Amino acid sequence: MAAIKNNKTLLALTSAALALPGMAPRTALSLDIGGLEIGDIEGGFQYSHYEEGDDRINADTYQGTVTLPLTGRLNLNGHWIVDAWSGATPSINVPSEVLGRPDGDVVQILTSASPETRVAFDLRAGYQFDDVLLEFGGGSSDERDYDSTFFNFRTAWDLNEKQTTLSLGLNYQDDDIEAVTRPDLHGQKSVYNIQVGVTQVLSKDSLITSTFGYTRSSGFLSNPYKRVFIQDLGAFFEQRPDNRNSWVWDTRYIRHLAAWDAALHLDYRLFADDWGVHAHTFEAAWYQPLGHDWQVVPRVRYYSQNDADFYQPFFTQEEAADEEFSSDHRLAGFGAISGGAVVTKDWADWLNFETSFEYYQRYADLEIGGDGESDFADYNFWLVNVAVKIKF
Amino acid sequence: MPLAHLTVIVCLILMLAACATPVKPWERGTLAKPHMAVDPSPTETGIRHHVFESKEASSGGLGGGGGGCGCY
Repeated sequence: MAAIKNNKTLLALTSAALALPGMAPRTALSLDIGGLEIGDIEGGFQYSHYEEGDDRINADTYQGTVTLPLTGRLNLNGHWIVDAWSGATPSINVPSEVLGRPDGDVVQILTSASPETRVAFDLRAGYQFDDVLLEFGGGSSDERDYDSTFFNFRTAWDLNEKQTTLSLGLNYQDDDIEAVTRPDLHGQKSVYNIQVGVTQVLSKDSLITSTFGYTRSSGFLSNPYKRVFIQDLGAFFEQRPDNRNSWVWDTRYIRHLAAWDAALHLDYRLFADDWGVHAHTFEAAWYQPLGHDWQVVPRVRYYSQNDADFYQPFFTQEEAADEEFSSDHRLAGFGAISGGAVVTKDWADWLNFETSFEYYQRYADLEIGGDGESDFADYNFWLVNVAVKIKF
Repeated sequence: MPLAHLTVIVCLILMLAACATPVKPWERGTLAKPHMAVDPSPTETGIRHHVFESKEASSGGLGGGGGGCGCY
């Protein structure tokens, strides 16, 4: 019994030691280049496919990432992404009377977008002091009609014997917007964002993390391809306000359930902006190890938003008089339910495989306190991912 | 967001912190398990958020920011 007890003690001490920063076992190749030790180089690749129902838009996304840990405290990370998408997307809504069907409905008209490709990359450097993490990053994204440059700063401060972590993030983004069908359009947009967060260990098997974010966007914030129908006048490009202030509060509770060695992740997110949009997101995921290094993660998500102040399915001349109008279905009031699962498998310490599937259904009727007015825009999509992570 | 809402949020966070039980470093074996991480699959989370943000009005506000449009 004494031996068993000692083994349990040793196991507990070993587990605790592994939980400390810098104490993870080194299992992969380490390089020594000019006295600079590079170890546990990690690489990852992910393929994702997105597809909407009714033969609407579909997209393929390829991502790669490389992490170089230098000197045990300095990490360099590079990430690239390539998107390619094509298919039909909503362009305008018209009252059914316009189409000779006087039934009082709204008809959503889709147009086929030409195939598009986006190429993006970002670089990040992080330095871990004993109790403070500093990270600097930046990158760019290029599309035929949308270029973006962005910079990030993030710091995290461990307190209270690492039971509490405070974090601060600052982000800046500068975008240039054009439209293939509007050669005279040259829009510009700036986005400033600040985030403050706290992560608190609640007990030996639970923790909570909460983050508050504020974002100010200014410049050309419209979608250059979306149109609105104004009765007796016809179709016009949408016009959103030139500024947007938004706030988001996200809280996640994580609890380990010893009977199943499972982890329950519960997430709630509240969003509000000065366009009149309020949104709630609830998400639950159950991380269940299955033995032999397999894991399955079923999850479900519910989302609800109300419509923006300047949204209408279509407009009368009086409604459009204030020169701020949009019929973009993403600014309508609606709810959505989605669910799926993630399956992961570890091979040894150096190879990890992950695949996931998610199905999403938009239902106007699921909006909290809504009237289902935008049900003409309901649709569904599914998203599948396949990812491989390797330690070289 | 009204200041009162922000005050309530801060108070809730402080109350939760006050409820915490002290956990010594050698008692954190469970918390160190991969599936107890705040985000066990950040790359997969990234593509999910990118899709949701291009389909819903409550875009951005958290995460690293940037990344262009890609709003299919």
